[in-house]
Amino acid sequence: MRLTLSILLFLVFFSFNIFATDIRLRADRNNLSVGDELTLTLSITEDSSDEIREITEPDFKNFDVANRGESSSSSFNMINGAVSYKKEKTITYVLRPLKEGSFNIGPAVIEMKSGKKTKSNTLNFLIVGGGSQPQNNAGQNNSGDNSGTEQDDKTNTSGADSLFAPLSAWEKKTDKYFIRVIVNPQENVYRGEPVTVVYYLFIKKNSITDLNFYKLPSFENVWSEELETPKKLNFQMANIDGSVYDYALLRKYLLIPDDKSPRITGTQMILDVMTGSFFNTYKKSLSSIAINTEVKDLPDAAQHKDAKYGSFTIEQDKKAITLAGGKLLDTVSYTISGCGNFQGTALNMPEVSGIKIFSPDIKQYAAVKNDKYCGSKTFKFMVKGVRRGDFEIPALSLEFFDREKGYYTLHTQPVKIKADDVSAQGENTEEKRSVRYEFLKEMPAGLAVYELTPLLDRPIFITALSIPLAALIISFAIWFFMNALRGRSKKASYISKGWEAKLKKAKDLTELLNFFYDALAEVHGIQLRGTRAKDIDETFGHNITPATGLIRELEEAIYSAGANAQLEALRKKTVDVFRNIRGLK
Amino acid sequence: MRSITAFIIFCLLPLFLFADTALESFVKKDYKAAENTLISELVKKGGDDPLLLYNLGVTCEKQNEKGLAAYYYLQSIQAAPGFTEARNNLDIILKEEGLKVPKILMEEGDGPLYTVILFFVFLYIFVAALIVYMFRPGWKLRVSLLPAFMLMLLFTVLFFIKYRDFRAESYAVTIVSRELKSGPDEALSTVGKIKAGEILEIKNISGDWVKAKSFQDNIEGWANSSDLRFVARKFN
Repeated sequence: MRLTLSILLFLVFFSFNIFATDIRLRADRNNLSVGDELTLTLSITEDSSDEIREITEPDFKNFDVANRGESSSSSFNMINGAVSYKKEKTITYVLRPLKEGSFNIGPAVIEMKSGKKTKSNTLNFLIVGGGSQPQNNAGQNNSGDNSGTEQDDKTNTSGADSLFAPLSAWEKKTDKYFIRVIVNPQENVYRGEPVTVVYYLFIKKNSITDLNFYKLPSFENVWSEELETPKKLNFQMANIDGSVYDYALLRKYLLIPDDKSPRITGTQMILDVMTGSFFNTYKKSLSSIAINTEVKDLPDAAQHKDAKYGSFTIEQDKKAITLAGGKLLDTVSYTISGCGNFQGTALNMPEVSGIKIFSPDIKQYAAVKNDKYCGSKTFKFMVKGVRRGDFEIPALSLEFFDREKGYYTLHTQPVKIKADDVSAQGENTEEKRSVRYEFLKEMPAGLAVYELTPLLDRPIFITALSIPLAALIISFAIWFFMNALRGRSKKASYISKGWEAKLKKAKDLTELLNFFYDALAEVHGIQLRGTRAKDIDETFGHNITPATGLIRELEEAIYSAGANAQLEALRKKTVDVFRNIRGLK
Repeated sequence: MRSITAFIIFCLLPLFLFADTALESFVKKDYKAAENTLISELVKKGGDDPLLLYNLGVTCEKQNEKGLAAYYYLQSIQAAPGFTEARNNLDIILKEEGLKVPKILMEEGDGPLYTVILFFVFLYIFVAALIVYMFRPGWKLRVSLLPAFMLMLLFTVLFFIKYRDFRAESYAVTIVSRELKSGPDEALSTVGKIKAGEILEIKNISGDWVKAKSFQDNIEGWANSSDLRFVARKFN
């Protein structure tokens, strides 16, 4: 029985370990040319009894990693009563060799939590020179597309139609769900021309159960702004190639190419999508194409060096400024309105002798409408008179290029300035010092120096705040202590007064004597009743003599005839003796 | 072993005894050493010394670190608003780089902190009245306590509102040209670029990341705080 049970337990345990941890590298081909692509797969099969702590991926020296995707799956199986659990992780690389030669890739290493390390196999590749054209051709914006055929470029037309264009080869790789990128304009992008890049997710019904953003695209050589970031995906339906898809906007960006680079590049957007059923879930990486769009200079750029892209108009708010009657400063604003390259548009004021023109306050309001970046940009210059006289800010010229209009120039009007009032400083320091001061050994005399430590952290502030608080606490403690003592003495004197009243109202000498004994005991803690005279002298000393004398007198009076005749006098004496004991009076 | 240690210490001793001052290093054009000396002196003095800050700016300019130089000049001006040399050098950098600086950072100091003074005056009056009332209760003192308390409360509120507004307006200088991101993560998309020397208004801080608005083009985005230097301002 025991043996059978042990064998059964061993088999159950063994069945869980039927799949030991395994790591393997595979490639779709081993011989290729420079510029070709190969797909390398790293498969990891995990043992249920141990977990992976770290995966060291292989070194891809001499290769460019064009894409990397990860997927994992887990499955339970009951085969002939044995339960098996398998967990697989697959990392897929798309590699492009950089030069000719024979190269090895691998091994990859996995380290388990138990400390065990497992290495994969190593693969060898033979790369020959020349070969097919690189996939990322200038002018083609689907540069991440693995097939990169010319037909794919033709199907991607500009504008709204391209949203419903037939699937490209890249999109066909995962035809149930894919990310489509719409770039507008797709090609012939001029330097400074705003470009919108929109990412859409297309999915067939029930093909994915969940998704999250793994990596958002980042763009190089451009000024970029994220225009739309939907918090919730709003799906609409579309029919592409006879198949019905649900599609939703993921992100929308505005890009404006900078002044130097010949192309705009953007990395892929990568999503993690969950597919499959509850017991058989798969996590897959879904990536879009990378953006690679050629940017060309404006026509005859050498003759129009400062021209910017856009269709604009310019307005100014003033043609004349008078600085008089205490008004030392004024402003002049220029507003450029239209559509185009707002980021690159600048208004440079020339130096005008006699007036100081400060750097402008710039306000820009622009948004994308109908795939155009339109709005206005206002430059507000503050002008100050340096010396009295009449001056003029000359007319400014801005050159722009538009696809329809070609080159055109906007001109402002000159601004006449009459400076009657100038600041005293302005008259003395007309020319701005353009010479730098060097290392100083000591501070100039008479300069006010301020402390930069936050006010609430300064010791003097803390001390100044602590003093009244401490005074308050100490005073309160003293007041409390004094009240407590007063209370105590008040209580004692209250009790004494009570006994005095009783002594004065004693009905007879016996009652008087008894009251006297009780009062001494309660108020002064002196217990005389039943105590022998010898013991009294020993315990209390001579201070108690008046009390003992009075007691003797009272006792004699009690037993004598006509005792109550002395009652009044003895009451008075008793009260006096009671008060005098221990300095009560 | 002991003799070897003593020998090493003896050899290194001149380095400590005869280390160059910042000025000497500057004159010898060893700007890095000058910078290090100035920084250690600045740390000892608590970071408030406008002269050290100014000289650090000059030293950084010599090493073509315009962003850091702008920061030091600006910080020097915060400590000594009338420091013409620092203003002049900062102005030159701003003009060369086409940068703007908010007016609030270039304002001259305007004298004593009246709200702070009045806050303390009424605080002391109230506490004194309260203490006297504890030991000598009387109707006159009782009547005077309420207005003293109200005035103390008023100036406390005024002071803390002013202080809160002061702390809310914080600024930083970019020391390295970087991109502004849409969120506190390097992987997120870029919303703009900031160049060295550019001044940012700080809107929010999250860990190592700071949400800031650029004065150049009013673009708001996130930057790593290691690329910025925060400007400490005096409380006016």
